[in-house]
Amino acid sequence: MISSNLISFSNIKLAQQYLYNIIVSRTDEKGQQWLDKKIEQLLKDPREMDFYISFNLVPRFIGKQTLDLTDEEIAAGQNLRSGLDLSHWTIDQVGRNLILLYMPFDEKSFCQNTLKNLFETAGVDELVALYAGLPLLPIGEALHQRAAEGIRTNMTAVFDAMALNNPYPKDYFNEVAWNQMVLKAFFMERPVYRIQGMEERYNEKLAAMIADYAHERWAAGRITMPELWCGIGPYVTDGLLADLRRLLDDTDELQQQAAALACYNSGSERAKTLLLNHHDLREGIENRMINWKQIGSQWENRRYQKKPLYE
Amino acid sequence: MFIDSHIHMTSRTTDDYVAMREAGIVAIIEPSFWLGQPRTEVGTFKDYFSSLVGWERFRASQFGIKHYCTIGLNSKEANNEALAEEVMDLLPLFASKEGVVGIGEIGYDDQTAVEDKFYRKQIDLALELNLPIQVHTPHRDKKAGTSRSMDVAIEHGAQPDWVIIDHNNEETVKEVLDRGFWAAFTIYPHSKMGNERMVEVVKQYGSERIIVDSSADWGISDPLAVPKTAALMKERGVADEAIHKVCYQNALEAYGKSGQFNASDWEMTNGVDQKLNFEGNSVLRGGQSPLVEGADSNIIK
Repeated sequence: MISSNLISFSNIKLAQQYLYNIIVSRTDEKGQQWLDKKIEQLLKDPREMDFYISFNLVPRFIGKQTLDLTDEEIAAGQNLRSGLDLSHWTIDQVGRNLILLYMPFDEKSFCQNTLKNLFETAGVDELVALYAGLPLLPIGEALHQRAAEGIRTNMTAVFDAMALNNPYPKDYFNEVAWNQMVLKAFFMERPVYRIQGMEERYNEKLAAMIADYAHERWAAGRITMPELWCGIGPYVTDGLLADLRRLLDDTDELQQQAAALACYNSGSERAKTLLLNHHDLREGIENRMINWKQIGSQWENRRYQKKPLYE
Repeated sequence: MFIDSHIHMTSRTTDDYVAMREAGIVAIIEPSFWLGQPRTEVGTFKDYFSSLVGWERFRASQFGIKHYCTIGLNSKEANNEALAEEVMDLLPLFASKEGVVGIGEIGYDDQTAVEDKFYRKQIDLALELNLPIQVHTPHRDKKAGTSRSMDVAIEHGAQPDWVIIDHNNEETVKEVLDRGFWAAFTIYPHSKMGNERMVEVVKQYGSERIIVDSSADWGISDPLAVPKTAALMKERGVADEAIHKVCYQNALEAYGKSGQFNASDWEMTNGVDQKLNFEGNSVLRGGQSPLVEGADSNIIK
């Protein structure tokens, strides 16, 4: 389950360089000078209080703007650590994580204590930086309980930092934590297509939880997100066939497409048979016009435009 | 547009947030205070401070209100000296965070020697961190306590225009303004200041360095005190420009000295830049307007 290419003690310098380069190409001279001075100070004499204060001060000196990463920068992140994706980060997140990468990682208790205090005193944006940055830490694996806390939060931004565009959950969450994360993402109506590893980490228990959840929503007269069926394919049971059949005839094309994808990817012959009457959908899937990313982003767009979710 | 520069939202409901937004409040400052009874452990202070920069900030954002805070040890709890020492060690961790616009609310309650000690220490901390100071003036022996608060601030080298003296009344305002401090007024039922009296204060003293706030908390208080007072001022003939100053602009200038309190913060999230935020994805971060079911009806679906 653990992917190759994790940040380790040997490539931590590359990680530092990666973050540093992203910042200096986007900040002014004053920001860079501050950063250089801090790094020098932390290297020479790493004291806990300096990590706290520097971490706090990052946005004052290097700002908070979005990154708009180049294709090269995105690729470099992937090379550094599989799944690393800073495309939704802001520059202060990069800065805060760069500071953290100068912790003396061979001193275990120092790092544990510093991180504990940072998490326990953090503001919203600081929590976002901390959770999004977990895959960058060479001791990240030891922090899986902390990571699960990031899923228990009700602060949307913090949940997103842990769950979306982040390789950490798929690499380190056990099945219980994984399933809670996915289910909670649906509860919070988050863009699930941005969760890494949805299909590979799918499991039978999750499929049962998702089916129960859907029935609960429908009983209350609520709609379900079309992405609810992402990854369920191999776990489609005969009990779900009636639901999928109904969704294939739904008035909302995104619901139809999602049900069709679930049937198409299903191991169940009966589910595949349902698609016989839906030629267009089948064709859309085969020529890749219909896929989870497209369904998810269209749904997200609808939310943003405040159109009725259910059309 | 209004700013309420003194309100304790951890004690308020979401109904208040909705009403505040509808009444035009765009930004609020939540001073660190006590919870109605004294805390007994330093850990509860830590969690309280972290909720001011965390959960409460998020809660406010769901209603389109930008939430800021001041960090400090209040005068009542300063009287537990051993605990107060531990709290002092925590303050630097929080005071340098984003969105912390001052050290506050600090000052005197009973005006004991211990209160004095921690008031002085916190003035020094504010000077070290370049932050404005938000001063709570005492309910009892108010006039002398207010003068003393200013004397001590000056003695420690604070600039008067970096210090906001709060909970003023007709008896204290003149000295505060004459000495160059900001004079904040708390519109709070049955104590402190009433909104009709406030109108008269503005008529008499003008709008320079005067700030209206609510200090709404866990007691019987009014989170709409600022917009209501503004409406009353207008009704009674106070000029729009003066109303804007005492209910918005002066607070922005006073706490803006922290560098952490900028009008662009709320203009960005409520105005034209939403599309930009969406593409940078911040519309999904910090929760813009949540999907509040039944917002337009009384039926819970």
